[in-house]
Amino acid sequence: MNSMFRFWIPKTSISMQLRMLSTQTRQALEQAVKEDPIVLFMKGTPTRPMCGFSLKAIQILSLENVASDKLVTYNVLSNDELREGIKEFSDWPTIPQLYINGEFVGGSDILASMHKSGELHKILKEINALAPEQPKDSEEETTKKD
Amino acid sequence: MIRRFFHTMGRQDRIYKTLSEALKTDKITLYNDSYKHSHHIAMKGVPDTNETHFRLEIVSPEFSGMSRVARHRLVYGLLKDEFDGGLHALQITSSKTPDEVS
Repeated sequence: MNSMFRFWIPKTSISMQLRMLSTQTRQALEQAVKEDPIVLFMKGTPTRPMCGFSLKAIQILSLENVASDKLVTYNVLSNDELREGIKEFSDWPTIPQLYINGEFVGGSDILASMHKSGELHKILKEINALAPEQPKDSEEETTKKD
Repeated sequence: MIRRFFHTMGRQDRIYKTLSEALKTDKITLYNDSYKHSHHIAMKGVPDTNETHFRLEIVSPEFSGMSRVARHRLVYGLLKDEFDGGLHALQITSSKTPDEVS
């Protein structure tokens, strides 16, 4: 995944370099946010978040019962171009940032509000991103088999 | 003169002043949470960890008709210089219009 964000930058004027970096970064990010239904740019990883706000974002998605195969995370601490590029891309100065079906949803504060209001659950359900709930009779079936 | 005075203000005061003027409100509560974050690895190498993390509650008529994302973006945009200058995080736990509060 990280290789997506490594480029060869030709030596040109600074403004040209910035423009080219920005264009390539933008294209990589546009692709990244569309490849999967739910994309979270965070500090650290889901199992080792490196800041409280990224932890909160992961906890909210976990509480919402998001299916693990629907969510992809990018660790911005592993790549400075990614860390700065995503802020420009979204016009949002902080990490974490959540995208659903390619659309920017918000940072940890907005996720918290949407989780509390039920709005986030509604969106995730509509796009079939929730893990299937275990049917109640499955335990009974198991018992019968025994 | 004014510029020099402005830059002697601490970050918390600058944030308050910027937002109160631009958003036409004095209903701003700003908490400094920096001490909670100073040990984070992401803060390694940051020279001044005393004014990096703030938490904001704000009421402004300028938010009328705006989505939550748009409201936060407006606030973040007004504080771009602070983010460029070392502000790491601004939690916005409440951004409402006067009508929404009453």
